[in-house]
Amino acid sequence: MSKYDLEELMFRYLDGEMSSSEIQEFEALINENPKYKEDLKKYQDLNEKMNCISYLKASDGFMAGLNQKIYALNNNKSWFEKFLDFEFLGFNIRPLLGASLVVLIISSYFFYGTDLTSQNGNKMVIHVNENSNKGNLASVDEDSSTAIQIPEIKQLSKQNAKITSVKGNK
Amino acid sequence: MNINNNQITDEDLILQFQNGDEIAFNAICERYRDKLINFIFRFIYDVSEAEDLAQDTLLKVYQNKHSYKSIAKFSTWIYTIAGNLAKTRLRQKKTRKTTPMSHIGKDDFDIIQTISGNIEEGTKVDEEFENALENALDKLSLDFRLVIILRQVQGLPYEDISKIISMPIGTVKSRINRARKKLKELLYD
Repeated sequence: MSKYDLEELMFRYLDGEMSSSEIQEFEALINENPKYKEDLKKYQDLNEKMNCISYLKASDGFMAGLNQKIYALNNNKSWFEKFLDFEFLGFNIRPLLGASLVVLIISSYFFYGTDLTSQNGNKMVIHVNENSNKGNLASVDEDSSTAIQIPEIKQLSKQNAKITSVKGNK
Repeated sequence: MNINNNQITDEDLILQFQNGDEIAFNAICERYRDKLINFIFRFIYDVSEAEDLAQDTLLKVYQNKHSYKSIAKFSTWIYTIAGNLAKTRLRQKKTRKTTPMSHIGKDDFDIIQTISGNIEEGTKVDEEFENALENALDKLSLDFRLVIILRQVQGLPYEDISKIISMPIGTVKSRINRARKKLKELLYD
């Protein structure tokens, strides 16, 4: 049996992981090897001493110190953090907020998403009222709108045209 | 329900605290404050810092109570938090010069014990062994030190330790045995 195997047996013996028959066999083996018997005694001594090391108790001011930290934590929270910590009937509202956000995103996609997608990549048609007077919405005539492509917008800005609606390219 | 009844499990207490019962949190503090101080102390060997980190551990429990899921033991969760805080503080301390307890004279050690009053009454303290153990633990890597403290000092079973350090039980046993061998060499050979 190698030294490694014997050490593994020693640790199993120390941890109380052996059956009674295994203990008998191990003790017989150890008694035949004085060096390993000495090693076992050292491990047993180490175990016993580590079980008896000083056990500290919390000081009298421990809970007061902890309560101070909790107080500081609660008072330093932003309104949003306090809102997230809000509980209704014992339930935190964070899961509800998360679910609401997901529903909002999904419904926004179905409600507005199809209008925003265009068949022609990033080209979009913008209907522009070229006859609008500068700053005067009352004179806008919707019938005189003209469909133009986005690259022409730069020219439009020079003409002070007003954008009346946006549609996807057909 | 009597919160002070020892039959109430830690998992029940944290569940009550998650439902808003602050008395349950106080009961958790009563149960764990000494254990946490002793655990952390074996890393940094400074009583006041160990208390400070024990408070920080309980503060994290207070702050993140909803992060705990009852599929794991509560002790696993709290020791994981404490272990991470202790390792972080130890790394910070190593970059600063500190005076280890072994360099403090016997008279100073007595004064520290008397003034702090932290040592539990009736505990027989082998000062020489404590100093030697501190030096020996300091020579172990953080990972080995963590497992040997959890096993030998805190008395946790292998299953709990494996969950705390997120390693298989075989790895935990191997590390503990190697740590024991190293401590034996340092203390006896």
